[in-house]
Amino acid sequence: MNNTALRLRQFALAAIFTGSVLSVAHAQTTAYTDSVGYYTVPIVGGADNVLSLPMVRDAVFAGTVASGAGSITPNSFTALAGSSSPNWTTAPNKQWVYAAGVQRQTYYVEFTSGQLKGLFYKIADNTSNTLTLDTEGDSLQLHSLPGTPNATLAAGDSFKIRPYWNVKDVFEVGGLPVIKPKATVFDPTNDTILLPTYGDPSNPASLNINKGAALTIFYSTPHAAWEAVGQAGTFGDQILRPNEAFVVRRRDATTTSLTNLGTVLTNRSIYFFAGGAPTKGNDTYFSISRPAAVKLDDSGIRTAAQASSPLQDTPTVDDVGLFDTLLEFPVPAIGAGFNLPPSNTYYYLAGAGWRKAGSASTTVGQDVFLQPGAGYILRKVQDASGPSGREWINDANF
Amino acid sequence: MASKCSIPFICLGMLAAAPVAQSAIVTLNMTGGNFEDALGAEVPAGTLFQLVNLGANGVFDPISLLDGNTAGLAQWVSGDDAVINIPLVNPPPDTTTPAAFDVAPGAGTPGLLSRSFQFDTANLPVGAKFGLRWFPGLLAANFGTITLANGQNYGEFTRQATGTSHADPQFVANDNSFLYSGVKHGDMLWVVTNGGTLDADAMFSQDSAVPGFDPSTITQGMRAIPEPATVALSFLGLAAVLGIRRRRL
Repeated sequence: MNNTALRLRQFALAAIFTGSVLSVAHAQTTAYTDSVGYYTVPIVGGADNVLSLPMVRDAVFAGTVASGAGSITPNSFTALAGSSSPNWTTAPNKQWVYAAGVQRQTYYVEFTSGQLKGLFYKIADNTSNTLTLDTEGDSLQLHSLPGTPNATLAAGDSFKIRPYWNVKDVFEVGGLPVIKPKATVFDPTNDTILLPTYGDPSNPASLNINKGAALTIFYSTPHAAWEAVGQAGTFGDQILRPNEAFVVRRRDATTTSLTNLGTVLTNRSIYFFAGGAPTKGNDTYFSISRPAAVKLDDSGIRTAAQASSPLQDTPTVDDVGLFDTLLEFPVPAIGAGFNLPPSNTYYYLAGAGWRKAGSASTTVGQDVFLQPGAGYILRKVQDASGPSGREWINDANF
Repeated sequence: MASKCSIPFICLGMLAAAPVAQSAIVTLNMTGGNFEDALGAEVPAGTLFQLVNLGANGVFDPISLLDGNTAGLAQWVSGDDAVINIPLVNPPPDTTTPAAFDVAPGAGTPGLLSRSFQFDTANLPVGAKFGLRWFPGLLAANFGTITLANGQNYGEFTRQATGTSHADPQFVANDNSFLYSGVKHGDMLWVVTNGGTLDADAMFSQDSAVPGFDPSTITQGMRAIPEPATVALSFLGLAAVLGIRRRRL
């Protein structure tokens, strides 16, 4: 087992509820909770900490896709709660739609059965019985997935609605930030949360390697709010999505910790990696949204079906660095500094297996684990036919 | 087959087939205050700021219109400096280049800078040293139509050395030398990195609650574009000295 990041991380399954009943306001049915627990990660002083959230938030609704003409469109579907309409509220506020200062949660749909199982999309709108999703260009009626090139949503498919994690809910305890705030508007010693720049194939300028943060968030004590450098407004409701990662830049010299209390995701998760463009590779931060480490061989980051594999094989040992790699950022040493390089680089040698750069003759796929609470980068190299992308299918290993 | 590559990550033998050299995206965060004018008043929120490439010598070259550059981008710099006029990645709503911006997107607070820019190192190379200038009395919104005038005051700041070069931040030489010899809150140097997030903040701290605050009176570093008469007088003075020396000889 890879011990590079385990020593300070703790997972506790505080309680297990299987088959228990959760009464959900507004819904006409009961929902079943998944296992709950918490996971604690260190935030090391004087360093950039690449972190993630291994727990998800509890589902607040579970239902199925209704049948009938027009019940499914490329970005919406009609829902059932059991056999009835869910009767979601639409006024004065829409039940599943974010509204600053009024409804501060942002919700997403997670498909839990059918061909789209594992996909999740933000809810953009709702009526009393329909959900419109922000599919980011995907179609619910035609989605190419590894092994299912024409995957589609179908009547009877089940889904859950969960709220995203957000900055305020993750980084505050008792109304106070767990990281060092900006004590005054002039205070330069505060910690920050760096949200990575995720590449979008439709925006080639966003594709690159070694990308700086898209948002730098901090807590302002004078304003009692989460703010972002160079941005207007507040960012306490900024969402943190499953399978993503972030960096906590801790300027404070002492080490603290972040505890993620939530639910264990047992469903499949599907995550998109943007590929490289003809002249640029692309880095994508990712993580496992489960509180259990997974071997590289079992992670699904590399599949034998290379046409759809998120990570492309490296043909020979002489090609190391010229093809896709996986970058690892373990717990840093105290005072390690900022903009830290990865500590380890992994690649998949065609016909042989996962290798670690610098240890070319040792296969590590059974020995190196993707750790919960950590963050990684999948580095896609330049692609003459790009930009495109790959879907990463990650099933629970428990 | 024995490996022909002894360098684990990049094999020199494969350089011929190597992909195009890869640039990176840098996020530059700038926060700080108070930015003041020559009289010590906080500059209005719309005041013109710009980033300057300090060139090979790594220092601000005083702006002089006597170098013949009196219009366009060239008027804003002298010596080997250059205005950083590059496209931003994911630009903010109010500017597309760091050649001209004000304190913040939206309303902003007088004297308090809060900006985050992303740029590709293909447009500003790794290792480039840069600095910040501001021009009291000039607005960022008018940048494209401004003609600089002699006597225009401007401030400048950079961080090109770590550590502290002076014990008491109240006493700062009025020659900006402290910018190159260390300033308190020595955080990241203002040098373009190979990607990542560069916090060019902690520029100043006027808050006595923050230990070792940097000098807030950046007006001490306020320069003015020299008047031609001033330069002429300097030459006259020099000529007078030379004349006296000839007579003594």
